Amino acid sequence: MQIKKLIFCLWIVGVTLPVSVYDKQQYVIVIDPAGDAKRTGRRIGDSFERGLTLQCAEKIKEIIANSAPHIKIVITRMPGDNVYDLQNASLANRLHADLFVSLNFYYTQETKPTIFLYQFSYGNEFASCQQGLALNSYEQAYKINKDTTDSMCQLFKKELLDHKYHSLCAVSGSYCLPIKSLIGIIAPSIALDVGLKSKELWCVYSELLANVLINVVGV
Amino acid sequence: MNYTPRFCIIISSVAFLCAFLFFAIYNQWILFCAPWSTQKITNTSSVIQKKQVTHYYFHGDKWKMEKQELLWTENVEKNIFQLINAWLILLDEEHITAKKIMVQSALISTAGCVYLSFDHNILGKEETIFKKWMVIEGLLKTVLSNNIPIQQVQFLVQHQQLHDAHLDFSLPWPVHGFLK
Repeated sequence: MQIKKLIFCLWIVGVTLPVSVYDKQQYVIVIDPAGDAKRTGRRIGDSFERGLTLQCAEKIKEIIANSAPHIKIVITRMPGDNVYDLQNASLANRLHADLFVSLNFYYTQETKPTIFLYQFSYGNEFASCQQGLALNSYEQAYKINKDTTDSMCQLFKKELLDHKYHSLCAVSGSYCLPIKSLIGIIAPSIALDVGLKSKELWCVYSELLANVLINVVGV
Repeated sequence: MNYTPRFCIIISSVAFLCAFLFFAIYNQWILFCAPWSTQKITNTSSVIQKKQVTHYYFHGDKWKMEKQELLWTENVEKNIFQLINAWLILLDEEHITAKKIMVQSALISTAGCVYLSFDHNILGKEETIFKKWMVIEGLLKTVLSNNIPIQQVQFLVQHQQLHDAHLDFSLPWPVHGFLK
């Protein structure tokens, strides 16, 4: 009888343990580093934007994999890949991503570089998007999760303005614009245009952005 | 030869008539139009007046404005063409654009969308998204403040769609822009 009780207890523990371990919801964040094999992007020192954004995205993936395993990072391209129009939107929509981040770098001489935040808009917010099964043109896909995008942008800005990063950079936005890399994406999507004083600074930003992403998605 | 008064009067009348005909043709009082000719005579006269226009551009983290006198006609397309070219010259003088850019053509659709075709891309490749946006906003602000009756602007380069790495121009931009 005692053995039966013990086996029953062990079975209960065995059944409930995996549930408690994987209790945390899995999140998918798609990071789109600017540029591709054909497009070098902007010049930063003796490097190009495409290389630095890719390195930064890979570092963010590494940091998040170590510190927040419930968040899965998907990078839209590998070195040498060509990215076609709407390819990233198709990927993000098929993955049912929780957040899409377009990462862009520019060179600046400012002592305190600015991070610009953008979200997609074609200036027709008043025309509401039909819920449920409906045909929407690709440039109106952003309307499906517009409210979530708005709140995520606010959170993103709040996290970036945190006193820990206050001395590192200034934050501007978020601005609603027809950003090319965000067109056709249903998931909440943000574009970042990050100022770099020198090409080595992407490392600092990767830590900053990884922490911000963990905090934004975790809320 | 015997010059009778009658002969003299006839000669003088013919000479006067020839001179009058020549003068009338010269001053376009009389127009000849051959039936086989395809050339059409159009009325080119329209009301032309001077107008003080305001140019807007973003420079040094703030909006700047400059006034200029331009010849203003009843033709809206011609006015847009002149206005944008004058604005582009101002941008070139202020070193906002890397090189001198001109508008090739400005055409308005029935839906109130103006198709602006530039000879080069007005957006610098190395600029931030914000600066590129401000160049476009400056153009839209200039058009809007000078009471040009249009709703949207479609940007073109050499009559083809304007391609930029960051901003999408596949659809026309609203003339009010995206500044809140």
